[in-house]
Amino acid sequence: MATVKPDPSNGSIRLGEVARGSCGSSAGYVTGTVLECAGGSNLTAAAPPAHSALLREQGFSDIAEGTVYALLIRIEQRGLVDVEKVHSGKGPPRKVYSLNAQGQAYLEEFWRTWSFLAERLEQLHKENGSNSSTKEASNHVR
Amino acid sequence: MSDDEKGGFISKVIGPKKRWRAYKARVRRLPPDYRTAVESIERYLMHFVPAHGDSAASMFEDLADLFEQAAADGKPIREIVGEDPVEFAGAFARNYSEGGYVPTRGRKRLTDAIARAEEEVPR
Repeated sequence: MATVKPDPSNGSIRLGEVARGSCGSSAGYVTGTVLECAGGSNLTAAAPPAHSALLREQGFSDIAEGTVYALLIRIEQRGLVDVEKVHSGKGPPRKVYSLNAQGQAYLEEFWRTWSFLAERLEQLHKENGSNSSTKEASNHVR
Repeated sequence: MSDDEKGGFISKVIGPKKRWRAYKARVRRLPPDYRTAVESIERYLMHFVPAHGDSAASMFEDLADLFEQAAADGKPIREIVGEDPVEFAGAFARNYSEGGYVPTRGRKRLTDAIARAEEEVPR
């Protein structure tokens, strides 16, 4: 990652935040995804079938439900969502999350950071792509 | 919480004793395989230094919530903890702690314990 440095003029963008995730290993983008889901519809925590299924549908099939639960607790602790406890027929009361103003701001920041990272990676990929094709051309004389 | 004020070493790790006992009682009411899973995760979480006694108590209560809900929904243990329970437990602990150090043997112990819990005869 040494070659990808955030533009100092973009002081607010921290690559580490996305790469490591403020919520844990590989989980930065999941936080964004979960928040995006929370914006669209309400989420239920505590063995959260709704959003785990939703994430799976979106192709995040390798994320354990417990990990999603941990992220929900995290965004709750950070005050990014409003929480309402709803009694359910079975098990403990379920928490219903909805994105609040602070969460909305975080989500916007997340998208800025994400597009920045995606753009830089794309650029790196393109540079590498042209490099490797030059190498190929010189190695294998056609 | 009057228990808070007495806070000795044990209370720093598990939180107020009253909340700890309530948590343990909830775990005892879980189906045996879920109970095995929770107890192995609980053991693993002891490696992390809680931000404060209160956060330790919340950590165990949230853990109980998760598994009670899973048991109520009949959700398999593996779906909760995922392929790598160490990753789940780490992400979970991070919400409540300043950090910690888990020896390799601790990680292996959790992985093995979850595999054992999975094989336990269903209720």
